[in-house]
Amino acid sequence: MEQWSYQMMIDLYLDGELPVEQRSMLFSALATNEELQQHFHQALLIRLAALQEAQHLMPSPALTARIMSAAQMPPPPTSFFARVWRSRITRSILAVGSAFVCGIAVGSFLAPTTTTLSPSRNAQFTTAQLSKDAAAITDVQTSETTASAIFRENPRFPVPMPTSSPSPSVHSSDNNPPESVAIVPVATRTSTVALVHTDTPTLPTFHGVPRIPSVSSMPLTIALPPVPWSQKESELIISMRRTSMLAFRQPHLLAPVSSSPVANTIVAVEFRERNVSLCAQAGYEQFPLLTAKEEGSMQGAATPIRQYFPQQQMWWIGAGLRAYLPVDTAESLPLPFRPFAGIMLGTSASGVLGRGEVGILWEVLPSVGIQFLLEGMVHSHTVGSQWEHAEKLSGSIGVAFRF
Amino acid sequence: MAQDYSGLSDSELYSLLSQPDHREAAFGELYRRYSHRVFVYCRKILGNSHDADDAFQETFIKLLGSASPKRQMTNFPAFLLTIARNTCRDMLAVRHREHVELIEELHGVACDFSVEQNEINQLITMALDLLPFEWREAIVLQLYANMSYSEIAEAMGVPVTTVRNWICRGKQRLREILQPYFDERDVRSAQ
Repeated sequence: MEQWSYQMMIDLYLDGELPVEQRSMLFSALATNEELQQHFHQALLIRLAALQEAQHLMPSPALTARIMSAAQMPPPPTSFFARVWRSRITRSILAVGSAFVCGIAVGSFLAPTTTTLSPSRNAQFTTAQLSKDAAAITDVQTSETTASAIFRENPRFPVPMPTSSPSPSVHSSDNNPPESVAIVPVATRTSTVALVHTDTPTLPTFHGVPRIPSVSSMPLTIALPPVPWSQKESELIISMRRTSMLAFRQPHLLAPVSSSPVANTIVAVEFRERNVSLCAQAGYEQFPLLTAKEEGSMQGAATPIRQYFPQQQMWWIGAGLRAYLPVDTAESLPLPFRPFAGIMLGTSASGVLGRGEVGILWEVLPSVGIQFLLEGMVHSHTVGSQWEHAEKLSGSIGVAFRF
Repeated sequence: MAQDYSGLSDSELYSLLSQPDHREAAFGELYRRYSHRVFVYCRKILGNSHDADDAFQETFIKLLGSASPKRQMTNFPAFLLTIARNTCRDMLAVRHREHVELIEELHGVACDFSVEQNEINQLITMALDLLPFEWREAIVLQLYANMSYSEIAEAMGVPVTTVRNWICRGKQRLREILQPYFDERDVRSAQ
């Protein structure tokens, strides 16, 4: 049982909030303590004065008539465009769609272009160079990964090989000293490579495999698939998403917010290294709070009075980690999905917050993905001398640009 | 046959606000139930009767505007009081109520009471104005609107223990501010 002072018990008793079991204690104290009796009398005086005043505080008939006349009018019709714009789903689709189109435009402008060699240049790299049969292919490399590794480890992207020619990664050196022939990508992430001679001999990496027949007259052009984006070791991801509240612990604080396109928007920048990324986020979303504001000294008060105003929307920034499902596991999914989970810690103007999120990055294009997230947010702030906590569950959809 | 709206719950009445046939009657019933509470709140928080009337009217107009068949109303009194609080805060922020207006208004409010009653009412109002805003809100809702601690907690979105602390501390502070009046009153009664 809570221990209250007798003065507090008097206030609670007059307000009808004092538990029955404590009333006898109060009454016995009141019977003997004159100071308490005086205190009780003063509290009663204030209460009676307030009750009497409240009874006389009524809206005037004219005011009531004005308000009731507003109810007689039918609700104002809303135009089709206003209804469409007010729909959160429509706004979200429009925002994500616009971002998607912009992303494709930016991606197509910034992405490396495909280079096609001229016939004369191509010939320079092919038959003439390979006619030196003594050369043995010792290593096949691309600038990003070995071709052999791609062939072996990437069953999703089978490489069409000429039937008459074995894999260029397999070679045999007979009696001649090995010379190296490297596959050099003619354009990064394009589908054409050419074999060229290099002067530096290197040791063979495979032995005992069948001898390669002559590839004398056939230009050897290998069509490499585009490198799947998921296999990039590191990348920068910039994303923007629209969030919509699913549940809030204090729903009575909720009020309609403006239809600004900026509202309920979160921007994130993350740097992913393999399956883990460092992420920084900034958001502007609906999260009702009471925010404090210092008022000037009023009517002789010694200290400034702090007043609290409700705030429906809140800016916040935060940073944290995201862990992505490994590529080899994600490959078993039917679509190019990359599930992830993350945790963020951040701050707002009113307090501190923590966010947990689970989601999917749908890699629809090499440089553009769509995010679907389920996010939980806890915000802690002070109201007066008390710490308050509010929780929110929201769903988000957005677009991610990957560089 | 006319429908009896007095037997309907707040949630049912609120949902009827979006139906043109029942809108006026449902609004009238909700107004009958809660107008006094809202009016007292606006009047005691704003002090100025013109501002209070404006805030009171705006609260109910906003209530009408918020009616939507999609909205599920779980706690109508808290919802209505939240509208009133937001409206009053907006007015306080914009107009920065001045002390002169308050004093003028105090005399106008209490003209129906005895001299002593007028005096104590004015002093209580002035003392309330010296309290922190959330204490004042809680005391007004409890003393004048006759709401329970739990109802106030729901309306203000804070725990009941917080409301209890605010009210008890606020009343303690009120008594401290009014102590000279009480002392003088004791002297007068002794004579």
